[in-house]
Amino acid sequence: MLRIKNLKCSYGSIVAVHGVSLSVKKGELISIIGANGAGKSTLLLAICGLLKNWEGEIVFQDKDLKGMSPPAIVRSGISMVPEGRQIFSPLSVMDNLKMGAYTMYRKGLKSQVEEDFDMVMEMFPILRERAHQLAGTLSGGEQQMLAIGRALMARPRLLVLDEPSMGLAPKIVEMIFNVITTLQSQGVTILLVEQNARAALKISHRGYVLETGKMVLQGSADELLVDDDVKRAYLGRDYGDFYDGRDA
Amino acid sequence: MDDNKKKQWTENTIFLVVILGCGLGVDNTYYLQIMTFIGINTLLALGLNMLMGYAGQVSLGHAAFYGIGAYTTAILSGTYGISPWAALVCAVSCAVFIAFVVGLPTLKLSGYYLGMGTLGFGMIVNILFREWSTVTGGSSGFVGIPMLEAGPVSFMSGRNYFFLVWMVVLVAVLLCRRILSSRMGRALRSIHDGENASLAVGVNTHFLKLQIFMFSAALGAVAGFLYAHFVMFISPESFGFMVSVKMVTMVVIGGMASVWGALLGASLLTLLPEVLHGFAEYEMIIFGLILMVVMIFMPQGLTRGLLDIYEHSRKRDKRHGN
Amino acid sequence: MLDISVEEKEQLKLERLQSTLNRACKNVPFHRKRFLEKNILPEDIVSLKDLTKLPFMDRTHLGTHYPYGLFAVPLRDIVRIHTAPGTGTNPSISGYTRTDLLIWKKLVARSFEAAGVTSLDIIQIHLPPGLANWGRDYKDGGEAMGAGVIPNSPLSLNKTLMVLRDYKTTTLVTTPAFALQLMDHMFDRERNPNELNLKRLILVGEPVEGKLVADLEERLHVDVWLNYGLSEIPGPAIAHECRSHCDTHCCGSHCGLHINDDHILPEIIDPATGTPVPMGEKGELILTTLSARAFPLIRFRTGDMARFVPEPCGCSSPLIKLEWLKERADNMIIISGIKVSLDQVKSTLQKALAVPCPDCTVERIRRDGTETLGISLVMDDVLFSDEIKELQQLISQTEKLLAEQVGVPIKICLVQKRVL
Repeated sequence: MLRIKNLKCSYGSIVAVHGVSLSVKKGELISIIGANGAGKSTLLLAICGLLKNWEGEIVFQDKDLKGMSPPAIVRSGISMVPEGRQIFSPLSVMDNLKMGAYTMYRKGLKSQVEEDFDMVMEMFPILRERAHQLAGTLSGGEQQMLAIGRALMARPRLLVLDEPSMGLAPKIVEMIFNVITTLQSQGVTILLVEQNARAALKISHRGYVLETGKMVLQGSADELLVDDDVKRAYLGRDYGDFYDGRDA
Repeated sequence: MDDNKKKQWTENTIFLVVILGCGLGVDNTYYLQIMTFIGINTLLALGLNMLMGYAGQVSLGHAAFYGIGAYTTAILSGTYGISPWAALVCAVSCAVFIAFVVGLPTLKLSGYYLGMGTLGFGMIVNILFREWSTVTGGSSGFVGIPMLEAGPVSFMSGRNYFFLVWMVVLVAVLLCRRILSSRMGRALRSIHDGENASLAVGVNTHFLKLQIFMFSAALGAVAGFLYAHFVMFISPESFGFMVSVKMVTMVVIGGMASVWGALLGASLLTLLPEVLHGFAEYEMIIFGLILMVVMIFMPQGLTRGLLDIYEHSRKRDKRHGN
Repeated sequence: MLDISVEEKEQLKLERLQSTLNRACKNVPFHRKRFLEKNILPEDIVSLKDLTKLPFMDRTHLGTHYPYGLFAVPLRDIVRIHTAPGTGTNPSISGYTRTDLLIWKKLVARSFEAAGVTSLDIIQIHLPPGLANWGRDYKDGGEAMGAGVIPNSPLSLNKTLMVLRDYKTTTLVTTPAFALQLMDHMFDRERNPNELNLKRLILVGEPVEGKLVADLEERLHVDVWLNYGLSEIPGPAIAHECRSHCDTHCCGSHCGLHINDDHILPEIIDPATGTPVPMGEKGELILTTLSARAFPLIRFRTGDMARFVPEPCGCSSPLIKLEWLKERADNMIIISGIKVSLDQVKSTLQKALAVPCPDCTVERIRRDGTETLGISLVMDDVLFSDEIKELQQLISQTEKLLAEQVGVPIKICLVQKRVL
């Protein structure tokens, strides 16, 4: 569904991503893991059209994304849940969700939008409770759910999430990842960028490892979870290892 | 949602009543004149408020559109004798068109650069007014702007013009509120909150900003039209950099992102100089001080500030009362 | 897993190649230096064709960078090291991480599957010591399939035959030489091949002629499958035959082997110039690993001659096909699966005999199931000595030295200079 070849992204004269190639097939859940500053977010910005300065090839469903504006990319079926959530604080929860369906209104699909509201509220009951509350007053986890709900309102074919676990408590992270897994089982193709490599790989089909802007490893999630390099650099120790005395 | 609508309707009705009351109740031509000026300034503030308060775009040269509105109608109806109402249409179209042409490249800038861009634009237009003397009358100004007439009614006297201006203001207020509660308004507020997230959701931010810029230019042109036919004499000074700054100040003091804030700010900045006339040489100092105090203690503007005080005192009363 | 479109496969190969190059450049100073020398960065390789921009590597590098010079991972991640005599003073080695071993197990299982092996089969492995590493890999692959495995062990021919018969081995993994020996032995003793439960032979180690294959199939009543591998590094079953191999063996080869090009990228080049040859023409086989973690190989010159088979295969496998040719591009000879460099032989002879340029011919002697490197040394005045004993001592010393160097048995014969 998504095919990237030799993507090179620069901020001015600084090259952040050096010739990265990756692919996402329909229905897959792919994770990109790597340390801070590895270029993961830059990669996502390029995909969503928010970064203008990139070379290489990004093809989504046989359409070349080069030069496409972000709204056009959203219309072709890619929705992003940005880093740090970036929900619209002065707007209410409902208004935020309505914003997510912005492109839908344009196509005159108002009834579909109503359906989607229900779908999102069902997935995130807490949002139904807080429907008229200002988004800026929600907790971190609730904001993340709102951000995901907002992206879902555009009925995306590819959902891109930028560090959904950032700044959230472990229990909330678990919940969010459960939601992501549920979405994937409903047929949404998902591209996930995460620093929490263990949680991400556990729910993914395949993974890619990015280091200082270069792709150094890829493979099935199982392969990566047992790979020594990955374990050392990104997986840290699972809390279970402390109790069982296992060596991670 | 319905509560909100009800609230709006109540506010609008009160507004209408107040206008009617002032217009019919006040007899002093001087006061009527001042209130008419407040009305014209409110139009300017409304337009700029939408741009600055909701779309988050600063414009330091908005007096240009004010001037374009005034000069277009002056030239067309004064020099060429075209009916002023036709001239109005031309003035607004002219302003909107220029806003489109200028906004297209400029609104891609942000922050300081946008400010500088609009500043430059304002200055260029002002120089045009001054230098193109054959058409505009140059620095000495343009005389002989005809009076407005609509059938049997002639808009010369204070009361008639007062109602003309304030009806236009009412329409503008309704229009602005309509826009703000629509999908477009939501999108505007989202742009203000975070443009990247807005783009990520599919909002064509550049186009939207351009539209609001054109709308505010239109309002400015209407204000210019009304001003020209009110005072019947215009000069470039009335549309210079200081006026742009005054417009921005009105919006900021009154409270950005608030329709009534525009009204409040316009009122304050029109009345204050009049009130301070008595202080002669201290006028500017006191003016400046008042502005500073307001900004320090109520940075969100008077509307928000006053509302906060009101709510605060209500809470205190509640606590004391119960 | 293998049913993906051509486009997807190309993308997969490109992704794996790029990450391999990134890892190699980052972790192996040898590769990094060579990239710098050619003024290339891994990100300059934007398509599979760009591989031609990179320099070659060969066996000498494996020996020169003993012991750790070519490892791309820390030593603690290496769980296995395969060794071979090598072409110089150092043994040639290769390393594997856990992940690498998993991948090799998968590839060997693929070759078994293609040969029709299932979990109900019993696999017996009989390989010479030089291919002992492969013995282990085939055992692992067989176990991964769930088949019964009788691993490599130094049994005599008779005892091997007994095991084959009594344990109802269905699949024998061995060298063509041994298969031939087995066949001859059985027929010399007029043993009926049907008393064995053998269904298939998997021949490894060197290319085989179609005639020999036909012979084996007919006389032993088995299906013969060829596997191609490299003895020192990555391993066996780099390429394997598929179900649609010729039933009639009409063509000289066996219609080609499928190479696992999703893990190893093959190229065919002209050995003299280093440029790629047009599709279908023969040349030297160059391999680049795509998923090796411990030991990445970039454009490794195998010395084996081969050609791509452009015609699509009857089976549905998307893997590209190769025809393995008998000739060699390098100056090597295969003795019991071990590659011996003729240059090394010559230079060692030179040193041992203290003769500037020994005139000799080298050939492989097959006798009684063993292979020996036979050297016919032309006796000339320099070598000649009255004392037979002295000469004999010199010869035996040289034999010992050579054997230690190259790891195969050596037999030196003195011959008369041919008078024209």
